Amino acid sequence: MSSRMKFVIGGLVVVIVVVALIATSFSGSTSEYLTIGEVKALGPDQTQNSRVAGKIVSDSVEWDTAAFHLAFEIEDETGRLPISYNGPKPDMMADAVEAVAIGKYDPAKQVFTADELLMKCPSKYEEKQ
Amino acid sequence: MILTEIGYGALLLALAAALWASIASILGARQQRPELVASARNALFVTAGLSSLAAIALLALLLTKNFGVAYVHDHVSTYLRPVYVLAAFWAGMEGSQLLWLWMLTIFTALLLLRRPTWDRQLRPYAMAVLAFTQAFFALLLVAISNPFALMPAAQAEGVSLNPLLQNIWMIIHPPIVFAAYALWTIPFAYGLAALVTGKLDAGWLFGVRRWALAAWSTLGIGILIGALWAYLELGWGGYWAWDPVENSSFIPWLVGTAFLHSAIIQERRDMFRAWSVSLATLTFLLTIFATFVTRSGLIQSVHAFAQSAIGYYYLGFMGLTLAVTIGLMLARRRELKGSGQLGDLLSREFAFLVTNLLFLGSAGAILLGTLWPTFTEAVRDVAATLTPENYNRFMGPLGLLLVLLVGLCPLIEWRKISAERLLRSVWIQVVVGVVTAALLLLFGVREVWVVAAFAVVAFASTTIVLQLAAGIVARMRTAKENLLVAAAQAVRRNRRRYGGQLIHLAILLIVAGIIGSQAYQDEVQVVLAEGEQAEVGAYTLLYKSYTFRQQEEGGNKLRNAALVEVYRNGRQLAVMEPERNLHSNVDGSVTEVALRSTLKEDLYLVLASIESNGLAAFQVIITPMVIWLWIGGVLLIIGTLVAAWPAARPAAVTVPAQQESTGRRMAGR
Repeated sequence: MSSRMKFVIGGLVVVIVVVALIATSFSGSTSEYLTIGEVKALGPDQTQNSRVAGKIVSDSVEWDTAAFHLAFEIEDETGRLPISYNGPKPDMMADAVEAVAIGKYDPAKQVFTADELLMKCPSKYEEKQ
Repeated sequence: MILTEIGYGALLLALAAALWASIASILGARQQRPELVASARNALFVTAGLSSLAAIALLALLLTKNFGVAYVHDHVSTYLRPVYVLAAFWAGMEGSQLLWLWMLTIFTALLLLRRPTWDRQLRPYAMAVLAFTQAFFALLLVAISNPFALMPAAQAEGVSLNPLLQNIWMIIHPPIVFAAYALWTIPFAYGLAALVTGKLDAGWLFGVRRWALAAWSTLGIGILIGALWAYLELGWGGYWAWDPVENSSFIPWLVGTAFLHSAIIQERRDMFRAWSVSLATLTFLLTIFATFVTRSGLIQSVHAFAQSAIGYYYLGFMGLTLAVTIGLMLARRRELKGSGQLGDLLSREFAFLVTNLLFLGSAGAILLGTLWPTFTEAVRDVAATLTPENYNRFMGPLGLLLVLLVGLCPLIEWRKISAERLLRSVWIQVVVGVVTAALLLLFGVREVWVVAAFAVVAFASTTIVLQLAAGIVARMRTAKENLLVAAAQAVRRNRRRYGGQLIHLAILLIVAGIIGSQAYQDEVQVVLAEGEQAEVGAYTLLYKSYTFRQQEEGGNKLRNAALVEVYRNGRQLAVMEPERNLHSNVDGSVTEVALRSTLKEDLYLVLASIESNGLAAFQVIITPMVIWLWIGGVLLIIGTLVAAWPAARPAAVTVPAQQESTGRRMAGR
């Protein structure tokens, strides 16, 4: 076999292994972006986390220092969703800020339990009154 | 508003000068008219002057707090601390774009200050590419992201800088990243020039080696500083989240790494010519793509700038660059065939090929992952996002394979090495790896991947240490020098090799830090009243006292802080004071973490909330080995300086004989 052939075949083997590794990494455990309406339609047997985004409803944020627990509601055009989070209040969390919650929905309690919270804070701010 | 007119006028003139430079340099080279090339060179010095003028104008407007200018109004305020005015310069899209243009023009001017030597024929074309890229950025600034735009009405106060960006590392992170992006333009420009002229031997690579090394290292440092900022400022205890903005700077770094390796192969063996040229172009394109990601609104990211039409300009520029490169590569396909003979599969050539495939594979996968929500939304109508777990599943194995190659490559000879010979030279490394694994198991580490990962890092580190030592010991024997003199002499005589080894060692330190910090992170939440204490791991945290809503910055900041004394075995280790402050220019509170770093682990304290009676909730995060990342970063800088430092004498030992003669031939023509 010529060394050119060897290199081509050897290189191809490496490429196939790398591509296979990547392909298996991409399957499973991704989180899908859902609307609040879609989240509320979820059944009790969710295997993957979902991502849901919405504006924080005014005056809905309740932080309980002693319990280290955060509860609030978000809304979009498809409805409102109560969020429960056992962790610190994220930076720059406030009314009407767009929040992204990553976690699972509990249809019985009708609460979305977040593993992770992100605030969408644009680098530019609207002028404040 | 004389300064805004000066600034905008300078940008308009810079656009004109850059356009002229790109046309004149090509015409000058094509028609053998040196006076046109000289005129283009002058025009490029003019663009450096003009963009400096524009930058100074913007800085002056920011410093004088001229709130009539939209960019100033949006990013500073009367109460912003002066040091952060500098960060405000590049906090927004317009300013960062101006910074990029400024860096690019300065580096171009520095390049042109040196008289052409090896690049006599390539330089006019490289100048044209650089000038055209400058024109692109100047056009963006003039046409759609003008930093000198005025506010519709006069303003007495500005919005001020986002408190998250008020951090010392955020002052230096953007300029370093943009400097790196600007530096990557130079290897790309010479790559295109090599394609145009057909001079595709290693001459151009040898000529741009230092620029490429500087670009690569600067980008790496920029990424590390970004990670450090995220770690210190965002308060979640991590430094990397596989966010699109982070990914978009990491992708060009990976491809740039592949470029550096393929350049070595081409210099030594005259193989991989097409790889070198296309990787240089790809790295440059990906730096532009990085900006496109953050500016276009294409990808959802928590850090992204507001959406704008600027994305179409970027797409157009990237499309043009790609089309020109591919067209030229097709036209030069004969010259792109190198003279080097491929060797055996068990050869350094093949090991380098695998290295490049792994780097490109990682870069491609991260790129695909970054675009995944966009793809899935287009195909399935539901945007799916990869989690860090997805990324780690491919990046972990690929990264470890690369580390393995770091340890293996120096032992594999060019052309061919027999398996027995390789095994004979690798046994010490294998023993060190196995002993490391055994020790970890003995000390109770049970995760297989952690044991394997540290064993591989130990394996690779041993190779490098042995290689470093071999050269020094040889000098101590033959030249009868003591250790220090021998080390200094060995490094001085072969900077390139020793610099490369130090850089690899730096990467291994960073990898070790990543493994340690990813494997074991302890997170505990405690709620304490003033005077109470809590045991967290081996530490005792005593909550001594607190500050509640203390006014600062003229009432624009309300400071909340908790003073915590940290003890271990009854001995006081540190006094830490995490904060959670309110700022008038943003809603909600902003954390300032407190940190105690040691080689073993970081104690990271977040004040999650505090009430008026002092009841405080703390998030305590203990992460091993984080500091190794930053130490690796410092070593990376040292290694780069060693590798790139000009040799003391003109007849540098680092120049392979073959390439030196190529350089002379080209200069003599």
